[in-house]
Amino acid sequence: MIRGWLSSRTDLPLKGDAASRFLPWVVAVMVYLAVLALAGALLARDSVLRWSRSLTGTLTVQIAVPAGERNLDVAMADRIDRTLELLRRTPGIDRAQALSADQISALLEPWLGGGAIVDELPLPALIDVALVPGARVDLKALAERLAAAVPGAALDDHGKWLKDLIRLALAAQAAAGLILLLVTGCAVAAVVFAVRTSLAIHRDVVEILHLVGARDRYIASQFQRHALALSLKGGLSGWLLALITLGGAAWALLSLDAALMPRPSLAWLEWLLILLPPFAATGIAVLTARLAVHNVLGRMI
Amino acid sequence: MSYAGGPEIVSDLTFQLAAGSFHFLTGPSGAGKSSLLKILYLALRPSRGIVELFGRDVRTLGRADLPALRRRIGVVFQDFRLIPHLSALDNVALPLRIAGAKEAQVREHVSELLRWVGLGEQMNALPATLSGGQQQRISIARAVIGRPALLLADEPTGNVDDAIAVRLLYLFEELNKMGTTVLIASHNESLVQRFPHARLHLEGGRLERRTA
Ligand SMILES: Nc1ncnc2c1ncn2[C@@H]1O[C@H](COP(=O)(O)OP(=O)(O)O)[C@@H](O)[C@H]1O
Ligand SMILES: [Mg+2]
Repeated sequence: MIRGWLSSRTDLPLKGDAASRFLPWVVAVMVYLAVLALAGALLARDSVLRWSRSLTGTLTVQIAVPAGERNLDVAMADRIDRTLELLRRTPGIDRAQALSADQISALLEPWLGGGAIVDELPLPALIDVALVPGARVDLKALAERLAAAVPGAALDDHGKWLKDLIRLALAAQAAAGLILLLVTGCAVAAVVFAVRTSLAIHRDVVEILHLVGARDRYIASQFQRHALALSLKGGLSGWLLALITLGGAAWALLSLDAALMPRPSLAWLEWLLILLPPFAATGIAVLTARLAVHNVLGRMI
Repeated sequence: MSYAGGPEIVSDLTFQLAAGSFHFLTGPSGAGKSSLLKILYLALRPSRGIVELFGRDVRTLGRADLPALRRRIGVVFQDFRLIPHLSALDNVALPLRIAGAKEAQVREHVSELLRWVGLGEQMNALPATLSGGQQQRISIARAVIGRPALLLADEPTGNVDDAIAVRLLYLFEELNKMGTTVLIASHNESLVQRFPHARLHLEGGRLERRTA
């Protein structure tokens, strides 16, 4: 039925118009970019959420390798013990545990590669601290006490790292918004151009339609139907291409080292959002066509 | 009235077409018959003067008012003005479809009328494949299909032989009998003389009423 309606007779020969032949392409590109931008923004947002969830409630204390000590291991062990003791005496701290050398090299492996290099480097000690859930710990005071008690000890509450991540996600979202805006602007311009050209080409027919009593609405509806068919076609193609691209990217990402990259995944609501662009584009195209036709016809007699 | 800054083609005409009347508009070529009709079918606005259609002053009409009035007016254009990519049937169906008529009715009425004007075999033909006379008959069929209150025909028999011309005039008379006001522009004296109707004669920018 939809098919019959889409292909039904129109009084204006819009189908063969050179002016609108490129419209599906414009819409396809628009939807393609929109889907990629959306997916990028959503993934960035999700990753930040996931990281921040796993990082809140935890602290890391880093103890630098003491310089000029003759017996490095003993000095290091002493510092770690003193730090642990101080931490465990601090109210609000649930657990404090030094990471073993193996754990530290495992953390560094994705960046430095495994094996010999890591073993030979003098590595700082890391102490993983878990806070009592909901506890308010004065991190600034704790950091000061730590620095005073143990030389080379530094408290990291991941705040800077998280702040950077959030800034990154926001930037990704802003970029995505900008892309959506630009791409929508392009599509609107393309539709307006196609409609105007088409109206100019078919001025005679439009005039006849007017003279036999057609309202602007009647003429506009033909353009709307045409815009609907073209942009739906273009939009779905662009959408399909975008999904293929995303699938490819996801596949490439998963086959990379999983430790470095967060696993891409989207909630179903976000998938719904990804589903939107072809239909949003079609809606925009139809509305634009309608407004453009009324705008041009409104200036005719 | 005048075209874009040109001389006045016709001026100071005063006439009235009574509802249900039948008039010829005669006069030599170039006298302004088509221009006068264009004003009446609302394709041109008079540069000055008062035109009333169905009791409404056209100067007070906005764009939005025009379609409703135009639907009450059937026009046979001198140059036919058919839509080139539509078949004879679709061209004639236009006024009905624009008015939102049911498709089954549209087909029935249109094919009946097309048979009546002798185009039963050409219903699906495109205008370009038809002769001038055949296109003219499509144009006439389109003008009368909606049973307009006012029929304005500009040289509607200019491209057909006399036998068909007479037949077409009978069609206009039938329509007139059902209540349509008819105004036919023609410079074909012999044809006009065969039909006893009042005449508006336009010449040298002046209009003269002559009874049959
Ligand atoms: N669109 C136009 N622009 C300028 N002049 C026109 C236009 N149409 C007709 N005219 C002029 O108006 C005059 C009357 O033309 P027209 O109304 O077609 O006369 P008729 O139909 O009686 O032959 C002619 O001199 C013609 O050249
Ligand atoms: Mg003429």
